[in-house]
Amino acid sequence: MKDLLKFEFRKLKRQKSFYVILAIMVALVVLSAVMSKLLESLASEIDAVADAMDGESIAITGAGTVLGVVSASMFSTLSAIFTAIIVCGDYESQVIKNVYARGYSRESFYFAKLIYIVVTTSIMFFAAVAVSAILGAALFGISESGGRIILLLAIQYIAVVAGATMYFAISAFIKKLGGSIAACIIAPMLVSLVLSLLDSALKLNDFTIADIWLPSFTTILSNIGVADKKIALCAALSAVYAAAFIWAGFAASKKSEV
Amino acid sequence: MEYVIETDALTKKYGEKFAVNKMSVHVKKGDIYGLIGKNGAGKTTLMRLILGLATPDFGSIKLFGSENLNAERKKIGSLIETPAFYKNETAFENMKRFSYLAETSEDDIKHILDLVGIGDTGAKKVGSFSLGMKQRLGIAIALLGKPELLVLDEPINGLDPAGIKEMRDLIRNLNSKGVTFMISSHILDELGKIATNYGIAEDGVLEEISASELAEKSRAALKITVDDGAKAAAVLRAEFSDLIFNTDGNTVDVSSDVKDVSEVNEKLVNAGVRVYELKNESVSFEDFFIGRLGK
Repeated sequence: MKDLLKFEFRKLKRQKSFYVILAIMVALVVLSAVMSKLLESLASEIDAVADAMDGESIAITGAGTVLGVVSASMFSTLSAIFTAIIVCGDYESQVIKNVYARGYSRESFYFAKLIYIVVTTSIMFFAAVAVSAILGAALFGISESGGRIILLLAIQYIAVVAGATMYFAISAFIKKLGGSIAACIIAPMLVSLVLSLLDSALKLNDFTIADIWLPSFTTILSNIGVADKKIALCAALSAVYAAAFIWAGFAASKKSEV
Repeated sequence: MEYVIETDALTKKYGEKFAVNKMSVHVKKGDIYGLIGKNGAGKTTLMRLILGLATPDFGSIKLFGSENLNAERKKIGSLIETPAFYKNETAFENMKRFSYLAETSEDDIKHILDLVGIGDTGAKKVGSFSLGMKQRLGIAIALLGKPELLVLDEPINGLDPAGIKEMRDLIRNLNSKGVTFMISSHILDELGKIATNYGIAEDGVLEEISASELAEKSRAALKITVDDGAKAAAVLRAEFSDLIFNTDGNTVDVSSDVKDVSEVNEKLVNAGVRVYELKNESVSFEDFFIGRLGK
């Protein structure tokens, strides 16, 4: 396993796609913060904008900027693309032959790759949060409780890692880069759509079915006033999703022939 | 006797077709085992099963006398189908990366690259290598970790004549140091220069023969010149079911062992075939296999 981790992590120094995606993510975070600042300025200067918001002031806060960074910056899409590149690259280039033929089991290779994905996703997450925190504090100031922000970010992190395991499972199943990227982006959206339709059909009181689907968690947790019950539900379900997708990805790769 | 590779009734099916059908392989330490067969005969599938790239449906595999295959595979280097590497990296960087899977020092990496003839590629990315250079890199990757067994699928693909000779010399050199080889190749005469044993694959079925047995069979060739090649072939097929031959116009080349040449002559003449010439002639290695696989 140690050898496989060294094999995987050696890529990090030379993985252009990682640095490109990281740069795009940071750029989007900066753009998002700047746009928010512009919007705030416009709202205070132009009545029409304020009226369009039904008279409510647009309170863009530093905390909101930090908490909303994942849902606002295309983080999920970029994470999906990167995960697909990492997983499918070795299948498409057939490099995986060289690994299995040397006696490394599919299980150990799967978990080495999973660890690599979790680490790189974590780097992307913390980079995005750090940049948005700096910008949020500088542009809007952060007056809310730091403890609350950290709690919400921690649960968002678990949700982001669970999301990475979902993209990993999809890519491990499809094994082709183009198909994996498409599936990683479209499949979660399709599930969201189906759940939203179910919500419309069932009209349940006090419960939104779409809120139990993984991609919605970062949006739910971007609201500093979110109920504690919802925070706990997001945390628990993120762990369940992560376990389920890790198992599914493992099952997909276990019997694969090269 | 402990074999480096031993399979028993190994079987792999894709849909309704048997890619490998009860193949029993025996490769001893120090062998250069030549795997021969037409396209689709099962050679590559057999190698993939041995290396764990595919899972057999039935049968068993032992490597170095053990059924703990993944542990034993650490002693194996391989090149299956096309070589696999990172296109945007240099040869050295590819080797460095794969060296984590098979402990090899940087000095040994440089030595291996020199050995296969691509030690001077410098900063050139592998994606811009020629076919022959890529093949050499594939073999270099297989040599990482000083393997005791090398499984090579068409190792001289894409190599020029000088490269083919270098590869043959490399194989002989490594074999003299105790490395065992399983090699598949379509270039039969090349294989004939180095192999000690052969596995002849045909429609998923394997027949094993030693180099000395093969030499014996190759010498036993019989060339028959007749007036009607097709009629002669029909008679031979009817009268001698295990005779291996092929027909070229009015010449019949018999490549299998003929116990009694006079009996062959008698059957042909009695069937109305005029026999102009019966001649014992040695066949090339390639002709023997074409005769063997072409029936």
